Amino acid sequence: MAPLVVDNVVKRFHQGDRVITALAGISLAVQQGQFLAVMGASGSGKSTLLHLMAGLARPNAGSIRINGADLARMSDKQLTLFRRRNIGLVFQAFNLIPTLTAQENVSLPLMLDSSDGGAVAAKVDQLLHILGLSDRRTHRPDALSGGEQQRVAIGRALAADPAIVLADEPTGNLDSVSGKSVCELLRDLCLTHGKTIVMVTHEPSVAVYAQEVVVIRDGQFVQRFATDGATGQDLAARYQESLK
Amino acid sequence: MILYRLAISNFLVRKVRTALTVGAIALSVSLVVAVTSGYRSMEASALRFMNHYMGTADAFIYPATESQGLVPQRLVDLLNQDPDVREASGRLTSRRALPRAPGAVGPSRSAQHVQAGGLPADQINVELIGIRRGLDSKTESMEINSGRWFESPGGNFAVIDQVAQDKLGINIGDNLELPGLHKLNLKVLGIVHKPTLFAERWPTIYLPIETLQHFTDQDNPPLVSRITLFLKDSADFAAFQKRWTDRLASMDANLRLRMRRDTASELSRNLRGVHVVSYFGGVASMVTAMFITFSALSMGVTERQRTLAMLRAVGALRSQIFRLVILEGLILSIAGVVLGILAGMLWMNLLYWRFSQMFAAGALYSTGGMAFAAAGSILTALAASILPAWTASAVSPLEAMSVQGAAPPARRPPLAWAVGGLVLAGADPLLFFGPLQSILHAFGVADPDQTARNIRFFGHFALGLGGVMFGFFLLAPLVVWFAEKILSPLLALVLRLPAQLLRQQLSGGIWRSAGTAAALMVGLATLIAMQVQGHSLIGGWRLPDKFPDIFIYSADSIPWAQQKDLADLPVIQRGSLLPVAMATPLGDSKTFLLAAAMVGRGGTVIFFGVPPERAVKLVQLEFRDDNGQPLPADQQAIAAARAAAELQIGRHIIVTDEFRQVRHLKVGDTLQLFTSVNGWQTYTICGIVWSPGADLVISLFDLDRLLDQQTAACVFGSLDDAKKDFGVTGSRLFAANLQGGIDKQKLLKDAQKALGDRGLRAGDVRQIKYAVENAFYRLLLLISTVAFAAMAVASLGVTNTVMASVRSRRWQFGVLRSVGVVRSQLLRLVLAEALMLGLVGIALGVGAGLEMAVDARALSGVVMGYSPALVIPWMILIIGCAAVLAVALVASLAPAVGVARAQPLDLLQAGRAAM
Repeated sequence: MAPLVVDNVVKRFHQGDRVITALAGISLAVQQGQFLAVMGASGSGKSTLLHLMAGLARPNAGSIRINGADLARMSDKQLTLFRRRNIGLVFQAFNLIPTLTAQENVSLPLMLDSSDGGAVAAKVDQLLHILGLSDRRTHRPDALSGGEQQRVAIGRALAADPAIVLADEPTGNLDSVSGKSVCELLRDLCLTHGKTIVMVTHEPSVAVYAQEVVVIRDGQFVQRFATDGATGQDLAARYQESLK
Repeated sequence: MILYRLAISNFLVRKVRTALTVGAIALSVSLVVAVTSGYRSMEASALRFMNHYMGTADAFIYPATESQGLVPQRLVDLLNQDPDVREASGRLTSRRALPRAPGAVGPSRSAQHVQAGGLPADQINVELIGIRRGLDSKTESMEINSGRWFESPGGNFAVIDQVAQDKLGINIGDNLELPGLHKLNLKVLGIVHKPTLFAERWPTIYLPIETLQHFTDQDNPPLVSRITLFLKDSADFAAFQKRWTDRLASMDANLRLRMRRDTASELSRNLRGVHVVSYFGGVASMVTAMFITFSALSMGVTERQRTLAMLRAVGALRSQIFRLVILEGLILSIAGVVLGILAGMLWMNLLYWRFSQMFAAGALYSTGGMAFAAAGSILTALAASILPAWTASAVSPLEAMSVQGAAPPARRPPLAWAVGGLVLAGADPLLFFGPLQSILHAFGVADPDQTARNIRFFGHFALGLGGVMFGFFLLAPLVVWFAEKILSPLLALVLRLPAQLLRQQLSGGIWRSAGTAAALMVGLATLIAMQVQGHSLIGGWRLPDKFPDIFIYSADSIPWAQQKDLADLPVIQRGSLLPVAMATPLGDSKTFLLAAAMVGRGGTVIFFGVPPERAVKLVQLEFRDDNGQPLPADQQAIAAARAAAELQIGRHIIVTDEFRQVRHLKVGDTLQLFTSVNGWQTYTICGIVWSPGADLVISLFDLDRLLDQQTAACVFGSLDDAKKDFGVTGSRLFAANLQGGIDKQKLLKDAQKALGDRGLRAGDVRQIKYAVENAFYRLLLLISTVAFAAMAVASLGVTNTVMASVRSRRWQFGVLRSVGVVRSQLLRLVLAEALMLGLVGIALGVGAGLEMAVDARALSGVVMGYSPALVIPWMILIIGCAAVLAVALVASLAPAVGVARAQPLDLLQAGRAAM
């Protein structure tokens, strides 16, 4: 069973008297261990889709299932607990807690769950090692570079061993070198550690690290294709082609 | 654990704000601890003194009213023959003014004080105590500094205390002259030590009892002021009390027996009111600290929207976010309590170090005060954190997904909160002015009037006062919104700033501003409520147009026969001497004791006996009808003549309008008074008058110490009734008109020649009124320090808010500086925010203060049946408002100067880093 299934999802917003349809019946499925990039122009609905997949907002129609659980049927509390244990979120602006150290930020979802202290420490050690942040564990966000901060954020997203990791423009606030490093990390997590990742981006050079790309426009599904070792330029051309 | 870690790390990042908030809580706690500890230390000193010098006695016998005669000395012998009595001893006390030692520093005395009958600076009042050594074991417990006691019951010897020694400048072996017609020269044999607190109040000269009896004409038959009794261990105290109460009643109804346990319980009852007030004094500061805590937590929530949203996004439950903010409030309050208790103890020690003579029992800490402050602070912090916690828990996790925080939305007027505020603030007036009796009656309550009275009294304290504070707090956002709309263009004009920059200065963080303005409100509202109530109480004390020139007070009662000497003095207008006899008939005490104590009134009645015809000639009273309305001018003289005639008949009284209101009486109604000679007697009311200021005279001459109980109201009867029903044997107080050009000193000199020195004092009544009013207003100001303390606490909140506001707009300020805004403009911009906060605080404070004052007036109607006319002291109100503005401006100076001095680039970088 696919860990993430989006089925005919509709999302509308009210702006004054106007009704804006952000998503007009999108469907997609993401397989276990797959790294999927969702691409689209600004206002295409890609971020809205991610919000719905993360359970941060509810669709007007359709359903979203993660590991078979229908998010729409959950109460706010159930949804929050589900998110804590099954969904890892990576934000464009990192959103680290400035007052906590790197290891504390990584362990946050586990500590919210009052998990066993020893197990948490071991898990965090392992993650920091994977992320290459072992020697930065006691540093606070303001002492870390942008790339390092996003790595910490990725660590936090992975801490609870979620069924799926959702990343919203994870390189949007990074320079090209750091962005590349983060993209390589996400790909590595998928290939080496079997993580299922959905990443929203508008950058072909970022999407190229994913295995598949879904293109949406005006809230509607346009095309889904494999990257198959394409370069950034190839992907950009194909992306532009799909939007025509 | 994670919540604790998040809370602590948040405090560590915002150290200054945390310190200011903890400081505000600590300051309020320290005030409560210091005041209650100071009170406890002084109470312990008083109790120690009482136990040491008086309280060890088992019982006392004393006259209910000294004007009605003293205690016969033969009673001492009778008591000593009682098988239950171990020792009975009598003391005679009197007071005299003696010249201060040359060079001894005295207190400064205003001309008005001296004119009002107060002592000039070169004189001191001393207490003369006549004792019988050998039969008075209390003197044995007194520490003798040097010299020795006299041993005989007669002879011209004296022992003085250390303060009298210092102030009179006399030593062992010196002669001490008590001035008067019959001068008395005493040789000083010894110096004793008394606690300075008491010795300063009344420096004392002990002398043989027979010498003092002779000097004060109390020797035929010998009289004493009080008999002190020590009973045997085997004595049956209750039986003794019953036996002697009955026996004294049959001998002289003016004599009273009081057992020590009664004295102790009465002292405890009297102190209870002060005790409660000492606790409540800190409540204003604690409420202020609560609003500051609220403000600080609100700022924390607003600034951490993204963090809170992220926490929600990664799986934090709403309840966890709620608990996080509550925990922050708790941590702040616990830190404040710990520091506040330590600071309070330090305050207490500083007080002890500075005024050690006031605290003879040492510096004691009030554990009750500490517990009250700790519990109060923690509870108020919890209350303060509920709304921010709820706001934080409502943060949408979606906010974490936005790259930049959204600009604050254009706010609509926060009407919903204001409606809630109006409901809360309106609860107290509704309680007092609503149709409560009708509702209770409709529900079939048996005694709707009494039930309504109880609901109003307890509802006011339990619900009403809190409702006013919280109601105005909830109104604050709307006031902030309006103030910003109306004041920002005006302030921009005055401070020469672009109006756009002030547009959302306060409403951008509306709850932060509301909390801070509410903190400023508390002190001002407390000040206004106290001052209006105080001025209203004393404002009604008007003197009639026609009033005696002078009041003469004698330390000793002057028997009727000797009064002719005074009346015949050429300096006094013929036929104008008006002896005033005082008695205290037993009366009921239906008012709530605590409430009565809080408004400064006791429970019973004082009977003034005057010669009616002469009194009416000398004093033009304002007569009133049964509804308290002044009679027309043409009926005043008729009412006065009729009242005088009825007083002359006997068993008639004139009552004050306050008394009429309290007892719901009218002319022709009767009143039962328990007279000391003839038991219960019926008196008929023959007139109602506006209070002629008798209370003032009582206060100035300290006459209430001569009365058995505190007085609530005055009634005026005839001198004959005072003699017949109350056995009054003489008078201490006289009113008179003087011959033209005669001054007070000449009168006193002539009176002393005629009567001998009886410690005579004289005062012009208008000056007396002035002096009493001044003393009252000074006391009122002293009590109002709680309001100023609350303002001091609030200043920390203002600093907090302005700092937070500056911090959140550093990037904006950086941009402004980059495009050419000069330092002084930036400074004015920040000060404008503080000014607006101050003005909102004033609007809320004046509103809440006036509402509380109106409610307090209604409360006095519930408690005493008398509501004084509302008097608003505009000058103090203006001073209070100015103090609030000053607090707001001064508290904002540091952050304003800080941001004005910063470099544009630093502001831009700091602002960007915070984004």
